[in-house]
Formats: sequence, C-alpha cells, structure tokens
Amino acid sequence: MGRVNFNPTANIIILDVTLFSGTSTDFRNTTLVFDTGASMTTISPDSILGLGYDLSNPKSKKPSITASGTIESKVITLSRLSALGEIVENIDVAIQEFPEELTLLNIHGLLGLDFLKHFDVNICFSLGFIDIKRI
Amino acid sequence: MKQERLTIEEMVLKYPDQWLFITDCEISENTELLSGVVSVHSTSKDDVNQASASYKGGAAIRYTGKPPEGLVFLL
Repeated sequence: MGRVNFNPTANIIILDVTLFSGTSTDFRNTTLVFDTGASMTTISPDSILGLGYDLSNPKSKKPSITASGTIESKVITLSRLSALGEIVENIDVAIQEFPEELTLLNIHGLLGLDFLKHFDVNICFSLGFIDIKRI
Repeated sequence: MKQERLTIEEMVLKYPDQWLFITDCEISENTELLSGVVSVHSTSKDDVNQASASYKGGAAIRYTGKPPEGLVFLL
C-alpha cells in the first residue's frame, strides 16, 4: 500500500506521474489532476514527446464529453503509467491539448478512473493524504 | 563541468516562472519527483518541448510559476 501527501486546502489535487515509452526504457515524469470525474486518463501530447508514440496513427478515436462540449480524442496505449507508487501496464489514454492556462499550473492531463479502478483508494482530507492499495 | 543536482524547491527558487527540462531524475517510490538536474530552463515551453522530443532516457518537465490563490477548477 502506498501513501501520497497532498495539500487538502488546495482547490485541486495534482499528482506526479511517470509515463513510459513502449520499451519502458525512456520516461517522462509530469503532473496530472486526480480526477474521479474522468472516465479515461487524458494527457497532453507534449507529455509524451520523445517516447516514440506515433500520434498520427492512434489506436482509435473516441468521442469525449467534456464540460465545454463533445470532442473527439485520439487514443493510444501507454506501455506503463505510474502514479501514487503504483503501475498500470498497457493502459489506453486519451490525447488532448490542454489550454496554456492549465499547463502553467502544471496541469498536463487527468488521472482518471481507468487507472484508479485497479485500486482501493482512500482520500483523507482531514490530514491530506491518499492511500492506495491494489485490488 | 558537473551539472548541479537540485531539489524541486531549489529549482523553484533558482528558476522562478520558467519551464524546466529535468534529467537524472530522482523519483520516490510514490512516483514523486524529488530532485534532478536542470538541463534546459526557459520562459518558452517550446524550448522545453524541443529538448524533450530529442531526449532519450528519463526526464521530467515542470513549470515553476506560483499558481494564483482562490482559483476554481471545473474540468
């Protein structure tokens, strides 16, 4: 079981995550919002630069309903995604550009239910930590 | 010349309001970036993206600006 601290007074929970290349030899550590409102983990294309993923040839395209309307997202399969000290392999993620205002807040995507559902996750707002345990 | 290893807190102080491309990353068992070597720093995200696109290995990207207080997010 892992435990990660966060600022319980902040208006959003931002987590460090690591995205791996297909061979898992290269990685980019970036930051995503902990978002139980997102069905699918979503990352900006800039987050995986240099990792060898071909965004011009995605696995699929899926319609995504957002707060500002329905958009079409490219979907690729990441070989590994690590967050909260846990790893999920071969996870499909949506690729979306994020507004500059969000990237300047170190928001480069959303860590969604498709990652979180592999675990029991307990959020302790009174003390500011998240406990995670693989199911 | 050996490049300087800095913690995230030190990077924020040394390179305020800049984009950082960080190599030789030290990452905790909880996936948190602890320290690294700032290979590129710039006020332009394009410079960091360019570095990332051509780099093989492990790296991290961060912006060191301080977020304004009281923002509400509706993602």
